[in-house]
Amino acid sequence: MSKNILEVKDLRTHFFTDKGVVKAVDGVSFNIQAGKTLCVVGESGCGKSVTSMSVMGLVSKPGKILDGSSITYMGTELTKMSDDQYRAVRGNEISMIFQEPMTSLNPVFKIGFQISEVLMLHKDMSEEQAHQRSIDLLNMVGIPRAEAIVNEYPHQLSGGMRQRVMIAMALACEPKVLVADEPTTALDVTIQAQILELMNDLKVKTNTAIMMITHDLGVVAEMADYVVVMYAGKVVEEAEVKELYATPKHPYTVGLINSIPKLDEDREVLDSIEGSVPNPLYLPEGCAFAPRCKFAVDKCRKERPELKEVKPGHKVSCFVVQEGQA
Amino acid sequence: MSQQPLVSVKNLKKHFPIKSGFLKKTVGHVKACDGLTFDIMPGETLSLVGESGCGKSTTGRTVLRLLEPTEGTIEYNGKSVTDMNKKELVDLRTEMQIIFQDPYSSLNPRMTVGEMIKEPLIEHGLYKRGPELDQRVVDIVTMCGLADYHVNRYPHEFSGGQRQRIGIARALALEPKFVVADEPVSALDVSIQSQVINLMKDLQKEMGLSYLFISHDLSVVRHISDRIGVMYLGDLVELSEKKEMFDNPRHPYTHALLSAIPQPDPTRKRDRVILSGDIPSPANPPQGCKFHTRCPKAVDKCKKDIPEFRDIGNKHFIACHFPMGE
Amino acid sequence: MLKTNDTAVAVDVNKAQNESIEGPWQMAWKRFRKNKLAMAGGIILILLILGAVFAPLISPYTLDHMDYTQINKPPSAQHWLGTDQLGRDYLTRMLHGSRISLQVGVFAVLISVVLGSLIGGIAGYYGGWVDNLCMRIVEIVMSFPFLPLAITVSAVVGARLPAEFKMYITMMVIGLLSWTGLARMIRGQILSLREQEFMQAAKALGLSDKRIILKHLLPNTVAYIIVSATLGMAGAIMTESALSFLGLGVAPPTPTWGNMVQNARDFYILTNRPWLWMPPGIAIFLTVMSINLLGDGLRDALDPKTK
Repeated sequence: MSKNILEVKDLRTHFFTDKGVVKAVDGVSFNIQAGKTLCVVGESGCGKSVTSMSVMGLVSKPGKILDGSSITYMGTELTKMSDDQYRAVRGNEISMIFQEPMTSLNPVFKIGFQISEVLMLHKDMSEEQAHQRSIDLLNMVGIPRAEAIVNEYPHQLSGGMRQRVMIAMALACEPKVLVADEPTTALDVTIQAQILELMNDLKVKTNTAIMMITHDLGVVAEMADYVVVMYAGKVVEEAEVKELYATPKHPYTVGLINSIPKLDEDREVLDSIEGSVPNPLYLPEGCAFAPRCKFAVDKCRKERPELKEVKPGHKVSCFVVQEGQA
Repeated sequence: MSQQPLVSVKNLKKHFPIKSGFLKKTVGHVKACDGLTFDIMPGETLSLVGESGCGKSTTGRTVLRLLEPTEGTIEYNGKSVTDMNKKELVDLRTEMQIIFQDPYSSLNPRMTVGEMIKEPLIEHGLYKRGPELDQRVVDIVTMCGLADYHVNRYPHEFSGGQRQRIGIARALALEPKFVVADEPVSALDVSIQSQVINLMKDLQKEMGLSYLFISHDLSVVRHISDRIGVMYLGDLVELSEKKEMFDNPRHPYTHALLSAIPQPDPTRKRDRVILSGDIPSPANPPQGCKFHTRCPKAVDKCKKDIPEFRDIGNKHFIACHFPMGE
Repeated sequence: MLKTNDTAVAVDVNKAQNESIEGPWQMAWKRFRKNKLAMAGGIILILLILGAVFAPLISPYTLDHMDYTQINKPPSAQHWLGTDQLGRDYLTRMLHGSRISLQVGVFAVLISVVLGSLIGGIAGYYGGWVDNLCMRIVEIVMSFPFLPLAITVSAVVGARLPAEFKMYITMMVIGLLSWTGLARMIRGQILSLREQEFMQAAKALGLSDKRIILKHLLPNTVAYIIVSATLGMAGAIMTESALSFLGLGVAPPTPTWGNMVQNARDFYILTNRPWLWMPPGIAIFLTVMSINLLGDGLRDALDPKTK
């Protein structure tokens, strides 16, 4: 059992707006090990993006990581670090790639410069060394004619290529953790297949831990070793990937998996989850999923369930499931 | 008994001129839609799938003459749409409608739901202002899964899924027979997608609609289509009945597209066909078969000769010199 | 019959059925109210406008009342803002001056808004050669140097007309030369609105051009026009003041803040009789500042950034 590179315990990130407090992330815990991929899955508004931002220390006003939250990277507590200390970690030990390849690269700088910048800042390389390493990195991420691309601008590349450049930038300093926030959502499906394959290959080569945020359960099945399902700021289920898909337990997870149209199934009516995600300003009392849940009982509407292990390595936050097991 | 097709498209082309230079000379064309031929029967759903740049959205809008076709003919119920004058076209709108992709920009933020739906009914002289019209609006709105008091609310008060329902209600207010659905669920969360797809299927049965369903997501398309057409860079490369398409894809692109879709089943072994390279620009498509630059089976002939769109039996059409399985 | 997704409805709409409907204008007003600076600007402006409207009623003296015993007197109980070189009460002149300045501001902006919206609107909506033509006209007008033109018009036309008309000339000159910025902005706004899918939806529904322009396009541009007009007023008032100060706008004896500031040209007056130039200067500053605050506040409130 490999050691945990990143440990998140009881993370709470709340946004104090003038309309009220938005509890974007409300008590989330998970661990990531070297060379493994953790997928955080959920729909819009569940708090998965804010979770990744919290790990990167990129939460800005009116958001705040509350006291009592802990994010430990290789033993160091990130929430207690100063801005300068965090900056030394970001891009260097923990990197991030974003969803929108069209807007995540600076349009006025050459590709080579954008990668070299990271290297020169964190690794103290000289310009030539960084330039050479940039070319190596572009080759590593499968960009053809790397020597030429190094001198081109982002607008000259396609979406898939730009995403590869982002990955190259993120991996330049050989970080131990790569946070990927919906990295392939904006890409065409054939390009997505390329990028996912690339990420898996690189993960094996560099033994980087990956924390991937996505809403696509197909991508999760492809990439994850371990899955965390979020709803309304909390973790509702977590398990190893095969276990989760074989026996999903939380009604939300079950509903999600069933509502995806699958290629090898022919059904008249798709299962759907009634209703929609609650407004984070007006979360219901009790379990946040209860208003949409087919199995909800009175207790669900009054009390909040806690995340408990119902099978070895499989945790669920649901009274009905927990009591069913008892 | 052979039916008359409701919509019949022959050799439809839509080219956008690329203008450059001080005098805005036309230096080339983006051949968004480059010679499509297909029919849609009454009550049937034909889906057009493809990735970005394939021209499916352009095709959808050109069939409705929201964009003027560069070449080719469109027939509706035996009458030529391409030859209609402005007045006839306005009358045609009561029979052919469109549902848009983006629930946020497809509704006028300054009109209430009721006003949006009343407008076309009044404009086409179907109703006059009064209680009868009000009742009709309430009927349409409730048929699409909203409540009667929603008619007085503004779009910003609704979620994405609800807004899409409003868009559907608006399109169906005129009781058209043919609806172009341009990626209607792509911008929605997974659990909401299935709600809207189910709604569209129900409405199709209830109102006897024909759909031209445009999407990039083959798994979504599976649930709603009768027949599926695959597009690549402005051409139809394969067209067949649904079951045939999934069981027996003959075009290498279709095959790659199907295998690229991540499936929510971690135990599946993937014999993935990962296409190399990027999607070429529709302004500068490759010579011969446009897919030859990425096709794993391309040979010399593919680089020179454009394959014909032909019937290979079993109502299965394909544009390929060497279809798979032959 | 299709089943209505009852649960969907109950959970989706976080407001009860009988809660008030919040249209885009109500939301904008709420946002505006929260902006303290903008509200302050608005209040100051309202007070200034009231002062101008009721000037004859609240002025302690009539405009042309001259008291030769009270020439160049500093502020006192009798004359709150002192008197000028002809013994006229300065407060009275200030109040009447505000009428002119504000009137010129309002009408000049009215002219420029009408012209700008029309031309920008036509250019944006029809595109093609119409757009080209309109934009070239805009560019030609924009390239006129403002001050020389104002001087010329003022000199040529002003010489033949009685003094009162000078005010209208000033309004016209400012209005006719300042509509170009608004035209460009409206055109840009319409170009981006045209791409919004609800505009295509309107076309797909078979709505007439007239209906699309009036019901779909215009209401979405009104917000920008209001903001532009408000800010334009500040510019117009500043310009009028500048012109009058240079003697090219409204001429004495009609008071405007601009030509009252003229008094500061004399070094002696500048140093010894501050009550002659400070009040109009401060008044101009206050007016322009409050209009700008108001305009900024309106822009923040009306800009539909919320989804």
